[in-house]
This record gives sequence, structure tokens and C-alpha cells, in this order.
Amino acid sequence: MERKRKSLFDIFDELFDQIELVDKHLRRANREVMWNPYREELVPLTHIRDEVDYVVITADLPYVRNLNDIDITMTESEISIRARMCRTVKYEKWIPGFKDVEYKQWAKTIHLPFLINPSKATVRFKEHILEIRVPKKLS
Amino acid sequence: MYGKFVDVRKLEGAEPSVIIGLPDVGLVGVISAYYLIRKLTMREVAYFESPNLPPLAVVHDGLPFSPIRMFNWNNLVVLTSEVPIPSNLINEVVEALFKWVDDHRVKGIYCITGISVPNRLDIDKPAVYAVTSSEEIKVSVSSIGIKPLEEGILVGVPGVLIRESAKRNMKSVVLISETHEVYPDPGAAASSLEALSKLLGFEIDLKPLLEEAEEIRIRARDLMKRTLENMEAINKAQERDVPMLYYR
Repeated sequence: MERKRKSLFDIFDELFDQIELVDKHLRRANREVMWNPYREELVPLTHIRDEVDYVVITADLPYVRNLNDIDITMTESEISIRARMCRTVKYEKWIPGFKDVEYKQWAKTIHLPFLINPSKATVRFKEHILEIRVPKKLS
Repeated sequence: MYGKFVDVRKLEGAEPSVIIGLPDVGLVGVISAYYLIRKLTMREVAYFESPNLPPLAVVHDGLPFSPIRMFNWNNLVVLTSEVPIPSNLINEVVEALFKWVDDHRVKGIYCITGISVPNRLDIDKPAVYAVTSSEEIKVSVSSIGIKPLEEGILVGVPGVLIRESAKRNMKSVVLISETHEVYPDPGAAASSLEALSKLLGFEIDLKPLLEEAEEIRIRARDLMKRTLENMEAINKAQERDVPMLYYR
């Protein structure tokens, strides 16, 4: 069967959609706070690396001891990470009202600038850094 | 109006060496500075003052401080900052530093920074490279096993500092450790401090730094996030560019 070739306009439309998604992602990351005292959760630093056919997502998870303490859920456009710490973290000298909170876990939902194929993801956990390597979903 | 370092106390030692550790890739410099200040029980000797500083004060034990300060023990001075240095302040801080350096007969400047490597997770002990202000210093630094960074681009304070040092004939070394791109990296700081201790001939126990690594990574998260935003603003990604000209 003959494949329909994309027009230049389609290519530009796709490119602008991608740029918009990345921009949205960056704006959301900038607004994000690094802790949620109401749920006793810390928000980990995360990073998304584009490796052409793959996306590599990492998260810094100090005080998490192994992969069994991490719950990962994935959809085509989001990855949620929840990880239990081996000890609680407290900011004793911090703002009154928040300084008695004991943070017990890491939690974050990462909105991806690409669609992924979650069933083919591979995961490793080394030096308290979680690395999820997942192929992009080809359109 | 231009910024300056204001002395708050007399220096302990003569002809000091200045060690710079500012918020940068992997927070290598800041973690190194923090560890030296704590381990050597350094005391504040000067702070940076400028109308161009971000409108904030850092509060410790109920008292306000400038975010950019110098600490001293014996003949070592550590310059660090608790907030990222905005791009419009980089030249000003370096200029003020050189004025302070002239006034205090400084022997050498050592700037600790990082360069992100994508495979950091697979590196047990990050390598440290050096950029020096002269050929002579490059030879002496190489002789103790610290390889020079042959080609590259330094962005931010390390770049301005080393360029100005070469121009002013000041002995300066920028130590660049392999590091995580977006995470605080105490392991990279340990490698840098090991190289620094070789250069300056002092001994420092780095075991506690590695033992405290997880705690440091948790405490440094907010600064890392702000630093990443600042790195975007100063186009730090240029450090991964290959310079076109190979002429000397």
C-alpha cells in the first residue's frame, strides 16, 4: 500500500505542537513546589532526556533503599512515581506550621512531551537514582 | 553603581588562597564550599554588597545575611553563594573579587565547578579536569595528576574568572568534575576536594561528605531547582559545544 507523504504544513504543525508541549512542560516544572506538607510528601528532582527513539526519565530519590519501595505507573503521556523513604525528613527550623511535618515519601507525576510505549519500559535503580528508559510511541 | 566585598573580620592567615564554590551544574562547587566551611569551622570574613543583588536576605538563626559571602580558616578563604548568581551580576562579582584579591595579597584562586556527563550513573569516581590561567600552572597541575580540559567553553563565573585571571597574570585554576546534570552531586564534590587538597597541599577527610550524601541531596533540592533555571538564563548548555577554532 502506498504511504501518504506528509505535507510541509503537516510537518510544521507537528513541530509547533511539540514545541508547545515542551514549553508547557517547562512552565509547569517552574511553578512546581518541592514539597507537599499536607500529604507528607517531597517532590523529587526529575529529568527527561530525549534519545531519538527513546525517552530516559530519571528521578533523584535519596533515602529510598531499593526498587521494591518504588511504585511506578505509566500511561502514554505520563509517568507517576511514588517512593517510600527508609527514614522521615523534617525541616525543623523552617516556616512555623510546616516545621513539624515529617515527610515520608517521594511523589511526582511527570507529564511527558512525547507519547511513549509503557509496556516496553525498562527500569533500574542505582545510587538512589531511578532511571526509566522507554521507547517513544511512533505516530 | 558597582558591587564590592565588605570585610567583617580580619583574615587569619597571610597570602590566602581563595576557593570559589557557587551554584552551578550538580552544585559541585556549593557542596564543596559547604563541606569546607563546616569541616574547618570557617568564619565569615566578608560579604558581597551591590544594588544589583536579587532583592532578598538569607536568614540564619533569626539574623539576615547577604547570599554571597566569604569564609576563612587559616590561609584558606571560601567564597560561596546561597542563591544562583544571576547573569547580570556575574561580571560584577568577578570584578569585586579581583579588587578584594588585590587588597588582601591573595596567592591563588581555585574555582570548583562541574560538567555534566550523561553516563554519570555508571561512573563510580568522577574524573576532575583543570583549566589554568597560564601554561606554567597547567604544567604544574598536570604534574600532580590533574588532566587539563583540552577544549571547551566555560560559562558563568568560572569562564569570566579564568579569562580575567589570565589577563591580570593571576594564578587561577578552575577544577571541573564530571557530574550529574540536574542533581546535587556530593560524589563529584568529593572528587573536586581531593584534587584541591592535592593542589594546595592540605589533608581533608572526605568520608563524612560521602556518608552525608543523601542528606545533602535532600537539603540541596531547592537550590538545585533554582540553579537549573538560572543555568538556562546564562545559556550554560553552551559548555557542551565544541569550539570551532583550535588556534592558540
